[in-house]
Amino acid sequence: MLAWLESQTDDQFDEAPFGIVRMTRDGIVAAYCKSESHITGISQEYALGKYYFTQIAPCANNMMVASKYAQPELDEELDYILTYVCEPVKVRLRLLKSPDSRFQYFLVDRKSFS
Amino acid sequence: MMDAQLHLQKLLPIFHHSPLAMVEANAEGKIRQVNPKAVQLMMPLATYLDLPGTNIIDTLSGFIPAIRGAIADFYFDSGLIIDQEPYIIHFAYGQSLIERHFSLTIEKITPDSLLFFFDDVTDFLVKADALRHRS
Repeated sequence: MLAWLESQTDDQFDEAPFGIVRMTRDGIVAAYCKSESHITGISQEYALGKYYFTQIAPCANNMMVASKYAQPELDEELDYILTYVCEPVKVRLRLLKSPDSRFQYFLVDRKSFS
Repeated sequence: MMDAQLHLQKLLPIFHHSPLAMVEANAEGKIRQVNPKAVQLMMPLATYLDLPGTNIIDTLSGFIPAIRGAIADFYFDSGLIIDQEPYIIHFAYGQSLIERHFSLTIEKITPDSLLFFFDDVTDFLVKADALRHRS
């Protein structure tokens, strides 16, 4: 999955059937795909350049999600609830990070990833 | 009517940006509205209890059993059930044993609407303690 994410341009993410947030290793949003925007109600324009876990998804700014990105390598799935502009939504998250990449990824699906 | 709707729209950012966790639930605790701070604080607790995090009474009573009785025993149609009570919550996450101090308020708005306000005041207490020792 990480190799596929790395090969995609920001625009190509818009074709994905699930939400994708591409962040710098400091947590600044570099790409925010349309599916993610539909789930959260936050526009791409608003999200780009902001700190993801403090300004866009404070609901995930805890030991279960945000703190996991402190690890050099990460590939973990978990059930979660997202809320911001949206009504509370039950989602399946996948958190991805590799020491070889300058980005880290936050994937969101209303169903489980397969 | 339009003025009321505009006013409500202006209130929404306060709800979403509040540093205090806020949840509106039905009488059984099923969550109807929740702000990001509440999700941030609640999900590690729900996960520890192996709950989905959709019922605030189930989640909080797993750590503070007294709240279920306090809600059930409150016979008025509205009013404060718990008012800024401090609680200590213990749970494990991964290899870590965690102790957090919570402040909790529960208010009944109607027979089928409960408001929960809570905050993790652990860091505040540490800072207050340091201030006391300095002065």
